Amino acid sequence: MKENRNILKERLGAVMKNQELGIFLIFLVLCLCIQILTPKFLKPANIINILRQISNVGIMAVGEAMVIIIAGIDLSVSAVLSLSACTAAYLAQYMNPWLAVLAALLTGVLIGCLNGFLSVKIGIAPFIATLGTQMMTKGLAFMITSGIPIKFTNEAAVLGGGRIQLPGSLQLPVPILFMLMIYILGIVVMTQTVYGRNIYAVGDNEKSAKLSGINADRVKIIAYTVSGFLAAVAGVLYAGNLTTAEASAGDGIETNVIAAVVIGGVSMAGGEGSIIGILMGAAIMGVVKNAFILLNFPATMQTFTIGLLIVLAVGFDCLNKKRAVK
Amino acid sequence: MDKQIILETRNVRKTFPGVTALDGINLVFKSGEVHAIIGENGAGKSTLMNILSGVYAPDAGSEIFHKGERVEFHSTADAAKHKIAMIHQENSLVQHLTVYENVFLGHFIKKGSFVDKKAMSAATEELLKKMHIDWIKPGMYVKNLSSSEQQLVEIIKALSLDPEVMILDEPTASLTVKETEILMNIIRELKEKNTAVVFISHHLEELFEIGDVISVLRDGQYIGTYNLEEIDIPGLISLMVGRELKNNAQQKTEEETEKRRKTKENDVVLEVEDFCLKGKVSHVSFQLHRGEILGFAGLVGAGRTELMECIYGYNRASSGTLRVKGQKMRFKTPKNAVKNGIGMLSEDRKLNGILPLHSVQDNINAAVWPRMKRNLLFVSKTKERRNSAGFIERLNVKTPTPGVKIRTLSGGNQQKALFGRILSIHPEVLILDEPTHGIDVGAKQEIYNMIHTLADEGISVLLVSSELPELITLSHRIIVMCEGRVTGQLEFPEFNQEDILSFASGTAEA
Repeated sequence: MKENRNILKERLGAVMKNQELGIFLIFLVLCLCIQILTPKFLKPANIINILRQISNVGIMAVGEAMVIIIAGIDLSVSAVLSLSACTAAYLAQYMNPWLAVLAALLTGVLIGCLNGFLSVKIGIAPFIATLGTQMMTKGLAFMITSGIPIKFTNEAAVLGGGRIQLPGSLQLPVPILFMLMIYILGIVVMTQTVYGRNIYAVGDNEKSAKLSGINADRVKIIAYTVSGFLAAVAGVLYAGNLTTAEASAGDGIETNVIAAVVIGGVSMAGGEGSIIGILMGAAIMGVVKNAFILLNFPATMQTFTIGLLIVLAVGFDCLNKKRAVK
Repeated sequence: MDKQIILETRNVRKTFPGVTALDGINLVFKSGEVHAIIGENGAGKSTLMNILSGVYAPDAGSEIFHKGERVEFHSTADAAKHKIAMIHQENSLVQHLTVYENVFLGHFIKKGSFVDKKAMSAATEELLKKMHIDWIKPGMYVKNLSSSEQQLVEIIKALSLDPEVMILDEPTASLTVKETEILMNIIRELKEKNTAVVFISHHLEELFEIGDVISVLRDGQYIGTYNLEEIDIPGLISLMVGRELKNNAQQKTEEETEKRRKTKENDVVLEVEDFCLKGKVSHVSFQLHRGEILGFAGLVGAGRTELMECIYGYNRASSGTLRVKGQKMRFKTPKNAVKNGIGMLSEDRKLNGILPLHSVQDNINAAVWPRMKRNLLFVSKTKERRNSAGFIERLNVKTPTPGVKIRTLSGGNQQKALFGRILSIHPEVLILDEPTHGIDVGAKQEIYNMIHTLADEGISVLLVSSELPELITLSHRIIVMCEGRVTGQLEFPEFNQEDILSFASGTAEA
């Protein structure tokens, strides 16, 4: 009997040590609580609604997670979203909208490259480098739009605003599809490929990785570039969804993206974390926001709650690690 | 003066998840006595010292007595209150502060509500003078000091607390000969001042020079405490290892001489010509033959590590030519070197070697993931498992499973895993920089045997080491460097310590 209990204790310990499972458990408990309070929560329509709301932050979180895993940070994602949305909307006035979308994605790739170049080759601390490019990028968006929102109503808007008819009366927004695809791709890259192995190795100990023959500079620059690209994807989806783009579109969204990443168990010191984890992180934030609406809680409390969530999630994680060391 | 018992441990136990680090340790530390503690890596020495200085809490049932009174340390501050000071294996100084600020960190001298810089600076100056260290000034920034100078500052910091118990965890590992002598004098002074000194070191000769009693730990168990007059080095080693070790003296047999001489007739695998790195390496040339172990001797700062990093492509040499098997090459990054069959094990395992958050398996495979693809994109998990399991077995890496994080392993086993990493690339040339730094006697012997075997198999080795016996035992030829230049070259079996030292200090030049 006592032995059984010990085995149970050990298993539970193993579960808690497995970070993704820990986060998943938090997520499950959260969902359960909300479902008990309001049966509307787990209705398919509401689930789709939550997924649609987290799709932008969720997509950007994949790139941000890669950057944070190599012990960097990308503050420019919010501005890249704005610039991408504005570029697409602006150019679509004069050319084929699909080409405009392509150009918008290219801006993200270029700014991502620039971030990588500045932090890796020049050696500016990533926080500062991406703070600088964030403001530069946002400035560009202002210059393009002269500060006035531009309409984005053309066939390419289907990327962000389109819906796929599901059996029954349900409709699946296209951005959710993009998000799921990006997550599947992200998981495969991070767990199955050489690049995935390299990115964790570089984040864990850069010099050691270099001496092992890993091209650490390239690994890091690619991570920044992917982050820029995914932020640009989010920008195109944003413009399509709202059929309009403005220079302040992404303002402040980088804090949400970073929050999703850290709630998802990625360590700011690098080398740790998983894509599944950050999907959970984004989902937890989405569910909490949704619960506020369903339960008619005052919206003024929302920001406070998300902040508390970050402190709790990361706090527990830290305590766990401390216990493992002591 | 009667030796008073200051600190006593009774039945101290400490378990980490999956391992018992310490199991029932009973030790007595007396004032005015230098108590040496030895044991292989992983024997639990550092854990014990961390418990005595309040870093770790021992398991329930453990008892620590301070001057006969039961005490519990919950933090290093608790231990400091009982005048217990510890010098860690790892540097714990604040890099961006000055020497005196570091010395008084945590107990700044104050004048009213402000910090009294003058008084602290003067007090530090006093301490430095007492130790005859005139080249370190209180106002210098720690980040500008060499690692051995930092170690000395660390010692001064501990002394500033006027401790009754002073714990030194491998303090000489990064010290030069001269600095070690200074440390020995400090310990003698402490002894006269009736301080209890606890001294951990892998250098057994050192312990015999300074110690009074010696306690042996093995696999977390307390083996015994002995008077140093009653015991000799071979006896201690067999107590530590729990088995007899083969005598490691160099074999100057004809057969060995012939074998080592012969490798010099083999074809040249690597040729370095006129390598320079500004301010570190100047005009170094040498040839490395197939199956040869070429040793590099020199003092700390002789430019040996920098030379190796230039060859390997981690640093860019400012001039010079490199030929690999007769072909002119220049490695821009280590990646190029690895591609051409050159592997490097760098100095400082913790800083430049292990991937601490990664598993033992990933640490072994880190250099060969691109070679483990099962198709264009994906890494084969089977190949990963097979490669790591092979090296864990072949190199005798003691790990519960390949999946545990490497940082939970002892230093010797970490190093063996890193050997697995560089052997995975099927190297023709190995650059080994201090391959046995801070490793216990047993693992050291295993690594020596491994290096010999590799050379016999035709792998050429560039061996940088600060331990002369190690270089003398392993090398076929030894190149001595001083201030970036090659000052001497010796051939087996004509190695002797005096020659090497005079070349290394620049007093003689060949």
